[in-house]
Amino acid sequence: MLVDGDLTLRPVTEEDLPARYAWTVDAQTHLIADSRPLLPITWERYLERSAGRPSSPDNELYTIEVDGRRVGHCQLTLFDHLARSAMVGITLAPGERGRHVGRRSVRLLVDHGFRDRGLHRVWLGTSSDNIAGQRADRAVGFVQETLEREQSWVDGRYVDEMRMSILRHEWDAVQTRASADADG
Amino acid sequence: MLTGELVTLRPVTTADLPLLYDLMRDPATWLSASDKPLWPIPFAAFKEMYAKRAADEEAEFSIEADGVLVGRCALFGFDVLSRNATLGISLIEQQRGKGYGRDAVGVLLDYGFNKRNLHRIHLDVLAGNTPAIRSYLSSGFVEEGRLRDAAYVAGGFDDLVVMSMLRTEWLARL
Repeated sequence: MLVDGDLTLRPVTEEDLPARYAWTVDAQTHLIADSRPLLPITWERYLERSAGRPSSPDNELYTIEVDGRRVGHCQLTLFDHLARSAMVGITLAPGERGRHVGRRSVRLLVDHGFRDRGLHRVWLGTSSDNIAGQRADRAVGFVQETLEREQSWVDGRYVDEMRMSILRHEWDAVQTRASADADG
Repeated sequence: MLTGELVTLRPVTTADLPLLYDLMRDPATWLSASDKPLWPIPFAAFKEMYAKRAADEEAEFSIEADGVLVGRCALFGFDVLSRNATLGISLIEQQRGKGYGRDAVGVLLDYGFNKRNLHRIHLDVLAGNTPAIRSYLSSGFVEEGRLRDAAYVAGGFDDLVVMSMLRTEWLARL
């Protein structure tokens, strides 16, 4: 479990699946969370698909809770054991955005990735439309690396995608600054 | 099958496999041909990998010049919604610097945009591979950024340069 005050990242359970299914089929959540096409996926098919991608050391799946209430899920995945990198992904339930739950969750994952998993680089991909997401990622310390032009077809038009990353030495510097601020 | 000024792109045959196997195991070309760390891949596993690529409808070609096999190239990772794919190419060492790579890339772009109706073709390349980057730029690829320390190669980290070409850019060059 990764904990920051009232916010907890805990292992996923079977009881999370109905809520996760609801977010998957919610068109607005889907738009933010997934660049694959929105599909009319049935509950049965969703269960099958989830069983095929279980949580594992190479696909860490977490449920995000605030004061014991489920508000989203996140993951540390696509581990590259040679280059020591992994990708962060996050989905927040409708109505839970704009309260810094995203950036606090991502901070926990990044810290865990560097501290416990020995990573050298943590990266993420986001649509250039997702301004709120980028602001949160920059606040964590992520640096924009690419602007991939017309990479995704979303809701009737092409949008640009970007990749962002944070390297271990940058995260160390963020930590040092944070503790200096706390002391000062 | 598909012809450029210097090269022909044709399906990979069983007879090509021993030479392509040697090409892949060259540490300098490994990364351009595999997303896995350099490992002693057995010939049987290599053959299986090629069989799988053919079955997946990925566009894997052998490159021939004057009737001789000089390398391989591919479009793979097709996204059928956003209409994009990734380009990859590797040439046998003695066949580099003769313009075959650039010619093959041109043929592959034409195939991707015109035969497969792609909107965007992209690739990533090690920042240290300056001949390849120069060649891609001269083909019309645009650099979109650098994934910092995203690759580990020959004892150290290297950036991956992300490049792409849009269909409109391809048409403007014709």
